Amino acid sequence: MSTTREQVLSEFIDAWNAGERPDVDDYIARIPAVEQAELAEDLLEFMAFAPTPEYSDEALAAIRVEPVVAETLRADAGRAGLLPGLLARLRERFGMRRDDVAERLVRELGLPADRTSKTAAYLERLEEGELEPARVSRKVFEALGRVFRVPSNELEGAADVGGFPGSGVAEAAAPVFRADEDAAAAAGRHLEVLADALAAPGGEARDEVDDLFLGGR
Amino acid sequence: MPFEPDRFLLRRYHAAMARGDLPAAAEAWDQLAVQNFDRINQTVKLFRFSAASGKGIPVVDQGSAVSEAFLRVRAMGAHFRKQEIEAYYAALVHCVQNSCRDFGRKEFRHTKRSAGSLDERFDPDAEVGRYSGALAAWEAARHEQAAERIRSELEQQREEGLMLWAIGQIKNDKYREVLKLTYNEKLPTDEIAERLEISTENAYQRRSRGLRELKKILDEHNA
Repeated sequence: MSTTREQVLSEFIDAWNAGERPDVDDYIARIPAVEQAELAEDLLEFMAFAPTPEYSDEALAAIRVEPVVAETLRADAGRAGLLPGLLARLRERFGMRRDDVAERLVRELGLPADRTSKTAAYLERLEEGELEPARVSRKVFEALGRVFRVPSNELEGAADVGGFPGSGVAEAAAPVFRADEDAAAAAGRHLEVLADALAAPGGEARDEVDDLFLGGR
Repeated sequence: MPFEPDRFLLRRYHAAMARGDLPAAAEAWDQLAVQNFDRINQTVKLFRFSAASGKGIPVVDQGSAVSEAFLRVRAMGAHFRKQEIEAYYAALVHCVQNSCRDFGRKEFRHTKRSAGSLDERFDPDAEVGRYSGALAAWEAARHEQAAERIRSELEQQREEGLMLWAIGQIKNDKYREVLKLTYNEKLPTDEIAERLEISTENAYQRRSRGLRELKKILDEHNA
C-alpha cells in the first residue's frame, strides 16, 4: 500500500471519528485511479464497524433535513406505514406495472390466472395506503418478497413500522353513551334491517384472493 | 433530539419493545437510523458489484439506492432481535448491500452470468450476512467466559463489543495499539503518533495494516 493511500484512509477515519461527515468520493478522488478500488475496499471495511461519531446538534439537524431522511421519516405518517412507499419504489426500480406484479404474484401464490385483475386491485389499494397491511396474509408478503427479491420480513417490517402507535395521532378513547329507556324498541327495527342485509346473498362471493388480502397474518 | 450513543439507543429500543411500548421503540430506532444515515450513504457509494469489474451504482441512481436502503433499514426496526450494536451495523451494511445488488439486477438483466452471480448472493432469510461467523464466535467466547464465571471480564467485554474483541486478536502489538486508539478513543492520527512516539507516516501505516489484519480475523471467523 502506498503512503498516499494509507494517508488518505487515515484522514478519512479521522474526519469520520470527528463527526465531520466526510464523503468517500472526495477521498477516493485524491489517489491514482489504479489504487482507488483498493481504497474503496478499505473504506468499506472500516465503514462496516466504524463507531458512529458523536455528532453535534448541528450535524444531526443537517442529517434530518437530508431529502432522503426527511422524506422517509414523513412516510409513515399514514397507518399503512412504510409499505406503500417501499412497494412503489421496488416496482419502479424493476420497471414493472401493477398488472405485471399482479401477474407474477398470482403465479407465486398458485392462484388461477383469472384472479389477476382482482389481485392488481388489491395491490393498488396496498400501494396507495388504502388497505391495512395487518390484514394481508404472510403468504402475500412472502410472494412479494420473491417477486421483488427482497426478504419478506423487510416488507412485513415496513408494514409494521406504521403499526407503531404514536407515529401518527394518538387514538382517542371511544365515547360512552347512556341509552334511553326506550332504546331497545327504537333500535330493534334497524337491527332487523341489518340482519336481513347480512343474510342476503352478496353480488360476489368472497374468494381466496379476498382471504389473502383481508384475512390477516 | 441530541446525540445519544448507538449502543444506548439500541438498548432503549429493545427495552421499549420488551415492555410493548412501540412508540418509544420506534423513536429509538428512528434516531438510530438517522445517526447511521452517513454509514448507509457512504456504503452505497462504496458498493461494487464485483472486485474485478470495480463497477458501482451509477451516480444518477445513488440517491434512489440510498433512499431505498434507508427505508429498508427503518423497516428492520419492526423485528430486530440482535442485542449488540455491532450486529446492528453488520445487519445495516448487509441490508444496504442487498439493496445495491438489487439495483444491479436491473442493469445486468441481459447478462445471464452476472444475473446468476447476483442471485447466488440473495439470502431472503439472512438477518446478518457478512461477519455473522465472527459475531457468533464472539458471542460464543462471551458465553464461555460466562460459564467460567468471570463476571467482571464479561461485563467489560460487553462494553467493548465485537471490535475490541477482534482487535484483541491481532498478534502485532503495534497494529493492535493503533487500532485500539482509533476505535476506542477515536484519536486522530497526529495524537496517536504523539502518544506512541512514532511518526505520522508510521501511524498511517500501522492503522491501515491493522485494518487489514482485522479484516482477516473477521473473515476467518466467517469462513
